[in-house]
Amino acid sequence: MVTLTTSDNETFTVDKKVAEKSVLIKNMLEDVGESDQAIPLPNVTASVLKKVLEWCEHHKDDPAPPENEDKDDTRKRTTDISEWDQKFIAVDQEMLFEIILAANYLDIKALLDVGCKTVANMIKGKSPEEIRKLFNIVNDFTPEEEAQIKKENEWAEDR
Amino acid sequence: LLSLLKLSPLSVLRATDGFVTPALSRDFLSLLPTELSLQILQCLDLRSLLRCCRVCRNWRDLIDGEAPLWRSILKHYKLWFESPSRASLPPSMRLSAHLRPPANYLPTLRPPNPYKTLLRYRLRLQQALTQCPSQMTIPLLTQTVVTCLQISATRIVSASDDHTIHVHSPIDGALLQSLQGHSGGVWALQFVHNTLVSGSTDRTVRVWDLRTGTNTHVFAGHTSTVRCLQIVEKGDNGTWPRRRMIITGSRDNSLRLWYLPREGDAEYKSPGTGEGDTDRDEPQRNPYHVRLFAGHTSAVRALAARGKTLVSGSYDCTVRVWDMSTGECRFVLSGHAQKVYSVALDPIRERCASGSMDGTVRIWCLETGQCLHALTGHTSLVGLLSIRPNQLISAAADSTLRVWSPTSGDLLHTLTGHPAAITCFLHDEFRVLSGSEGSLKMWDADKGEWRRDLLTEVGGVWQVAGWGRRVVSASNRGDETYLDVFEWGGETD
Repeated sequence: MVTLTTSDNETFTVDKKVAEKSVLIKNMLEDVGESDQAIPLPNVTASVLKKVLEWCEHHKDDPAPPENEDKDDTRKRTTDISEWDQKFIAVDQEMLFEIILAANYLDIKALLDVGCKTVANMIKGKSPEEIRKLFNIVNDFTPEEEAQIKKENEWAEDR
Repeated sequence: LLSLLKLSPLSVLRATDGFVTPALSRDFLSLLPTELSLQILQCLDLRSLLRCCRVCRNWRDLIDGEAPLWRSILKHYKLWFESPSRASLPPSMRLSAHLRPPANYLPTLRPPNPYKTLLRYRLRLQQALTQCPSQMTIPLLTQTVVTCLQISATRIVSASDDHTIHVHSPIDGALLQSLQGHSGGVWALQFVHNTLVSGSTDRTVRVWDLRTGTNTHVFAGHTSTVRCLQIVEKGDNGTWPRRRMIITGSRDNSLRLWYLPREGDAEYKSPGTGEGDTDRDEPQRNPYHVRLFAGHTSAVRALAARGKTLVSGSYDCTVRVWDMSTGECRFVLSGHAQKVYSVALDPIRERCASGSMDGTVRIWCLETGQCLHALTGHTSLVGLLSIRPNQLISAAADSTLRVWSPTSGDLLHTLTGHPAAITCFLHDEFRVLSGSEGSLKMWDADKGEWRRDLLTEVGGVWQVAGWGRRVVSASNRGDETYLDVFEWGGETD
């Protein structure tokens, strides 16, 4: 078992196998060796870590992802997300934001991928105005600028 | 608070929601570290990405500032061309044309990413090419066979066996110039900017100033028809050659290298180039003559040059690889059983290819001189050959075109439909066209499918050439010769 301490001083005790879904924790454990000391995670709060560990628990037996994708075509061919992950990630934007940051900090590539794909799926198919509304963004273009930007970016509408 | 909300009427709940939801919203792309925002953007399709550019200044600057993102989309659409190929594109299709923001661009906005405007240009052209082009027909008022054809944004240059070179406007078809001077049929020509080089059965190489239509230089030296020529571009990054050169191949079994006169250079005309015998010492006195390449034992029919590398194909059944900077013959490539009619360079893979009357295409290694692949399938003369990054295409007298993998030599597609020998073809980054007795056809070489006929019910289609959105062909109808200019919609070049 491994003990983890969050930024708000809560401790979680989890299976080593679950904790090692995080490359950061895995490397720390390798550096420290066998030890009962808690691992501090100063960038993660308890509510977010709880969520992240839930994901790690479910995915603890997943095979390791292939190392190198095709470097030439870095574009993601699909934004499909498994059913369990979809339910898992159906949270408010604040939580999604925190999960993405935590997955990046803890170096959990597959979870980071789920988070980024989720944001992309929120954007897909929406008009600029709908996107602004969704993310509470202010349109800071002047009318002249907006006209120019529209002209410059509406050429793939039929694609 | 929760119990209070449970008791509240709908109107209050709505008002609360209008307050709570924005508070939980996060502007992901602005607030996340850039590398994570880019990971999100990599998941978006082109249409969504462009809509994101319109959301707010921050998003737009982030997305437009990211050249690798746009490059990856160009690659995704197979519209990213590696460097040797890029140089052969019309300027409007190169990145440099899109570096400057469009005219009248608002100064308060950062210019759009040049890779983005390049993507737009290329996508639009690609899309336009699936449509039917407009057509303009120019009568040449002769009955002669057109032997050479080239098109640029402002000129169509055609030559025929009647000794004259014609310059027409691709925009309105007007005859701009008739270049007179050769005393024999013109069998090879190429122009760059305002300088045209031509080679003829009169054994001379002539240089013309296209601004004035005057013949500024006449080079003697070849003792028989000048059958093929190419303007050799300056080397990349200061490599040889330091200036543009001309390489010519002749029926006299030799090739010659010349400096390309610069615009405004003094005129030079080799003496004794009118009629009669050629002075054998003349090339040595010509300041533009660089060197002679001797070794072939029969006529030189085709050549391809880039940087120091020159490849020549001859009726002596061999292909020779030369170092143009020293004149050294690096390899004599033997293997073809009959005359070699076509050669092409593959600078990406350091290879060349040759097509022969024996019906085969051979791929050779330029480093070792080895024959890597012998491509069999054509049943007669392979007279036309072209290599682009992912395709080698051969066109033959057996009325077919064949698309091969330039890496493995595997046959990918056979394009059939012509009733007779292929007389001309055009293969660039965007299209493949071929001409034969009766028709000019356009193909989708990736899929190996026929796309459309651009000309039908014509006699011979002698030549075809392309530039940007335009293609020009020369063909016979009845006794007359015509040029046809096809233009696909889209942005201007």
